[in-house]
Amino acid sequence: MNRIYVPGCFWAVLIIAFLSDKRFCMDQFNFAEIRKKITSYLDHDMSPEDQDSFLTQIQKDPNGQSELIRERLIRSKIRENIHRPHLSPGLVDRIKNKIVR
Amino acid sequence: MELKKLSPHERFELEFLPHIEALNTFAFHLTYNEENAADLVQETYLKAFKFIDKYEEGTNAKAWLFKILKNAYINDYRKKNKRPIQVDYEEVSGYHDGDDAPLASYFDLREELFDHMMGDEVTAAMNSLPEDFRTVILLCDIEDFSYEEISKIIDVPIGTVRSRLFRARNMLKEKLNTYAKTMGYKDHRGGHDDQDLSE
Repeated sequence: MNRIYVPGCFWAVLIIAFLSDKRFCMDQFNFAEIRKKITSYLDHDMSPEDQDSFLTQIQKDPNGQSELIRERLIRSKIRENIHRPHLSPGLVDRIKNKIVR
Repeated sequence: MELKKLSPHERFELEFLPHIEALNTFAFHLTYNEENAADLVQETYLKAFKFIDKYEEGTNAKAWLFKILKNAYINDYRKKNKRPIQVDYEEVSGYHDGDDAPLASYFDLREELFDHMMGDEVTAAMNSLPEDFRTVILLCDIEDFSYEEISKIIDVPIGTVRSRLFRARNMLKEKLNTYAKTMGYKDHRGGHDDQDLSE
């Protein structure tokens, strides 16, 4: 029976590739998780307990922190750029006058 | 100062009037017209005063006023102006609105994109969204209401708020990216000049 010789370095490369891919998948998973938490946090969709644990977690995670800062910044840019019409002159007085009657 | 000892007029001024600018912005983005927005805001305040006894002092006056405005818009303004009833996109697409509805954010938008805008692109993009989607973005991202408050204001389950917000944010991002592209903004992430602005 012919045996195919596979050099040891091939297996080493294969194992490293497998592990780093797994690591990459885990990183992607954690990244998606942290983004999900940031969204829940900024949307006030977290219980006080979850909020506390999120804030503790994010303090130890520089990447998560920068994501939080960036998401906050984008939201504030949207808020700043939305048109807010001036109040029609005399509107407040008109309302006050109507409720007095 | 205890609010219960105040007269209805004093309570009105102290608790309700401070929200007039936020209401005016919301009304403008519903009606697309400053004059109509002012009328809607006035109507909202008159209704709020009429039913001031139903309001529990010290609770969420802002959310209460927004709910009155939204109802006034649906029941009075839209009928008067014969604006067509909009299709509920979630019903059409069968989009799920359970508690596990996905969350959308703006992570994939680039902040530099806003440096290339003249100021009215965000408003134009926002106003081009279907009303149901525009409403949740205005309430959540502009006025900072929680999902629960939004659910009460627009009278839909929280899961529906989540799913509308998910779709609304994705639509808004797409429109902002399109504006940015038409203005020649290129995303240089990863060294690809023509990379899509959304990930």
